[in-house]
Amino acid sequence: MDSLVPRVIGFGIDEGDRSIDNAALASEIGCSIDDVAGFGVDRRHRAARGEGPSDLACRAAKKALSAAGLEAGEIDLIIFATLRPDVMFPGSACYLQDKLGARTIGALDVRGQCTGFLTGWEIATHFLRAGMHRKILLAAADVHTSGLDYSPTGLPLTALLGDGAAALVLDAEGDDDVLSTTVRMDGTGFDAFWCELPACRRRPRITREQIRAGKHHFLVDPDRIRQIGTERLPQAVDEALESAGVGRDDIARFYVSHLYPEVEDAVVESLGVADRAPTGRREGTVVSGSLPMAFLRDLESGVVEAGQMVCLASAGSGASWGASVTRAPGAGR
Amino acid sequence: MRTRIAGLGVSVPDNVVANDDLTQWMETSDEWIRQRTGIEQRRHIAEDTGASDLGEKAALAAMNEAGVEPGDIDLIVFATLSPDYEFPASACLLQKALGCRPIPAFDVRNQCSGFVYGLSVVDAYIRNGRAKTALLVGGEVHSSALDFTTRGRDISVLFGDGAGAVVLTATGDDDCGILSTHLHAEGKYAEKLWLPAVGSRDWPNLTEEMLDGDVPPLYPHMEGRYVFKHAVTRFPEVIREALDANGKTLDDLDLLVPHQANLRISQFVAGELGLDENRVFNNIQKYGNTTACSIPLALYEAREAGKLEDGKLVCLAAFGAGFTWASALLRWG
Repeated sequence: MDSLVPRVIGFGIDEGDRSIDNAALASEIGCSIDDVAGFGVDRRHRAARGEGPSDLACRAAKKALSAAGLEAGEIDLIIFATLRPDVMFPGSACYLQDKLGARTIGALDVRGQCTGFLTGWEIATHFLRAGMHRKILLAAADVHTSGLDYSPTGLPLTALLGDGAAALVLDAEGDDDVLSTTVRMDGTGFDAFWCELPACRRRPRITREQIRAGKHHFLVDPDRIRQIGTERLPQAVDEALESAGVGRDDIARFYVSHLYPEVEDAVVESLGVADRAPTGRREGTVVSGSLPMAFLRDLESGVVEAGQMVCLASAGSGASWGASVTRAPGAGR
Repeated sequence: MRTRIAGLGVSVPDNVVANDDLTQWMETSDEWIRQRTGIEQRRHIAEDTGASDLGEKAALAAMNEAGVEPGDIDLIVFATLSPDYEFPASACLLQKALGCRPIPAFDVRNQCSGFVYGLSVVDAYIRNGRAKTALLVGGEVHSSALDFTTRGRDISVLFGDGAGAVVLTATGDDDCGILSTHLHAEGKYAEKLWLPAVGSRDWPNLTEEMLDGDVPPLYPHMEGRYVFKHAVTRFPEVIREALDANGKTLDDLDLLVPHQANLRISQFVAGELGLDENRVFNNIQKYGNTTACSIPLALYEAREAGKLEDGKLVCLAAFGAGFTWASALLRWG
């Protein structure tokens, strides 16, 4: 059997229904524009009411399939990374499978928080290299805006988070392999950015009083989550580079994803690669989607050319951090 | 490179809930439950306990058997539909509890098929040399979300809590360990067995009203007849697929270990396939449906009963919410 080498043959992005700028968000929250603007994000995409991650991912996936020249029925596995799926169970992969009309192929839901995309990416590459699957649809999508606390106590997350989806179709007929992927978890940082309730470990999982008091919202410790980013993102990048046997100078473009745009910029600066990375992100963070969306946008617009080596990295909730060194795909716009 | 089971451990809560115990909360009877499902008793946590707590005990037992230390573990995959918290994943909490170094650790959310999907994922990592000593846990705490009233009895009588863990290592023996895995889903039936809340499709994701009503979104729901009908079709199909993929027949199969959803489903499937009771292992009578825990728990007790010896050809098969279904063919040893 010829060597099986994973490659991206199609991709697509979806940004939901509309964009909410700082003025609009401040009005919804009942605070000043300055309160919202202080986190570096100017606009966050918002899905239409009633849409979940599988809806955004479906639109992205259709673009990806079309670019790959494939029907949904030709895929043999869907992998879906999301922070919070359409419903508690089953997962968004099942919903996406139905929306695409993709026969009875497997639908795998992985939960890796801020390294969810890289986890799904790594799983996909392993399946393809091992010949266990031949064509995989990888979706990374979130609808955060439907579940946030729109009172003033909901900042900074209401300002930082937005909705979006990325979808990639991969097969095993590449020439250049994905050079490395590394993802790591340190559970001692589990409460730097998390959501406790409803908690299956508690009886009951949630009470009326807790819902009334807003205890079910996401919780973030800004200092800790920023520190995790600044400390671990460079480690992830270095590990992926070393594992790939390349240096920073070999990388045409770096993509660094974190809840806070300022952390992305600081890390890119500290790595000395500010000239080769998107900086100054003003758009809301999609926990699962931001990393692939940034990369795929550059592919679409030609900022990155086929064959160029790129490094994708993300860190955050878990606490998790990870990176991948890969060559930009050619086709698939 | 193949993946073999080097250690197997389980942990169930001490608290035994017999069918008669349930009658204090809902209109039901021991006879009705036994007749419909085969279940006689199940375990429920008696104090706040997470899937990762049960998983930790199961993991330590498996690791002890395999002769590995936490520092040896290089991958944790946790299959659950009842993680400790909304996020991060229970895998993170297990990584922390065991004191593992930072390693990939994520949850697979595939309901009753979760353990087999998880097995497939770990197999992919090991075949690619990306992991050598992995921990796969299937763990559930259902009881915190069961509606212990007559309104909720259809589901509440079925489910139990527990965790099973396997240590998976690489082997160069081609006729040992996981021979193949097969993953399927049919998202068209997502809402035939599901838990709506908390999901990101709803705006907002969680309200007090979701605790109320005839069909409260914070409790799981099932259309039993649909589930039964599809289960008895897909189980034989995916078992045959596993055998065919390896050039084996039903005569070659030494033991079928099905996900323990309902004894009547298992018996129907065994009948369909012409497998007598010596070649199918069931223990749902004692534990109820423990979802991702059910297969490792059944494997553990099958081994205790002397049904698993080196060289035996074993098929694991699961069907459940998604719908999802999956099988794995193993050569024990």
